[in-house]
Amino acid sequence: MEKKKNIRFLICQIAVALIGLAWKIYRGAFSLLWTYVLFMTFAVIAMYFNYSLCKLENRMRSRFYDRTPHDGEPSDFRLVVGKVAEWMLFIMMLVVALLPI
Amino acid sequence: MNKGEFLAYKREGKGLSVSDLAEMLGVSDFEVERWEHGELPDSEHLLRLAQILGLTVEEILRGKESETSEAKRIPQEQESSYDGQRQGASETSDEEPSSDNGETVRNDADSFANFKQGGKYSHNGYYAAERKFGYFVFAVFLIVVVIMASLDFVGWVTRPRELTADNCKDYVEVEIVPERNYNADVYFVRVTAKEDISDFSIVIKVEFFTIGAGKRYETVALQGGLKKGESLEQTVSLGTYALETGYEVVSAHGGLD
Repeated sequence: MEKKKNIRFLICQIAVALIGLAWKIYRGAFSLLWTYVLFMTFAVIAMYFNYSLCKLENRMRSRFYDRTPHDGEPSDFRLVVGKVAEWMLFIMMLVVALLPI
Repeated sequence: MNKGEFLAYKREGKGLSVSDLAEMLGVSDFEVERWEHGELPDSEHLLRLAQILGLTVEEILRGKESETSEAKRIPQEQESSYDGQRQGASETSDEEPSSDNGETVRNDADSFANFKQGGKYSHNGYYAAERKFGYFVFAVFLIVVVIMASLDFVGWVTRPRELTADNCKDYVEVEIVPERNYNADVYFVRVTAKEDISDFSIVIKVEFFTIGAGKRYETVALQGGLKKGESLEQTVSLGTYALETGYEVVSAHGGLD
């Protein structure tokens, strides 16, 4: 059930990102087109795989800096910080989609 | 043999791989490897780990087997029935759970089940509140796009169909270009279309300043069909050095598609 909701939300998010891209192309605002494509793609993927990314980052940090590396299980706070950053990026890209440049 | 090596030795003695032990405890492989590098397991895993390896908690903490602690070992048979007993006890009795770590063991099993079924900590995806916020953001964005598209459409429907002197600056670009950058006495009047214009005609009055005669006006008329980006040009020869000081579109006609 939860997975279905997640997939539905992901599809909506991708649809919104594509609408933003189509709007930019329709308006002829090409100067930030590649910026939009790059960062929007990253934001959508990172938002879904936030847990894995946080865990990977924790694990890598642990491997490099800790004497006995741990498994990198991210804290709730770390997950929320990641989510907030990804949402900020996503919303910024939606604003970029509306800019006439 | 240090504590970590002791744990690894006992694990191998039981014929378990790191993954097997991790799965039994509901932790990741890295966590077990961490213990085998010398870190102490968290207290919530100690009792279960002792049961699986056939040790006492004290032996795990000391990192060596003790001769006198045989009686303290938790037998393996007890392990399998432990959860059921605890569950039954909690269903039939209103007593508070005792502080013998039994509750902790049961919670380990729960968290591992949660892990296997895609619980909170094992899943990529979105929080419920995040989805609500996301749908709100999507709705706001789509509303803004629809409003902007509507305004565009209204602008397109009500766009002017005829070129006039008032709106010609939106559709043509007028340039007065000197033949050379100093002492110019010849100028080019150039009109470039920004859109397709049929039956185009324009009359431009250009103002010049000469040292001898002061202000002087020249009128230029251009006509012909223009596609977007095309230009019409006419040369103005003044016969004396002059500076261009401005121009005015007297009239403009044409059809806008």
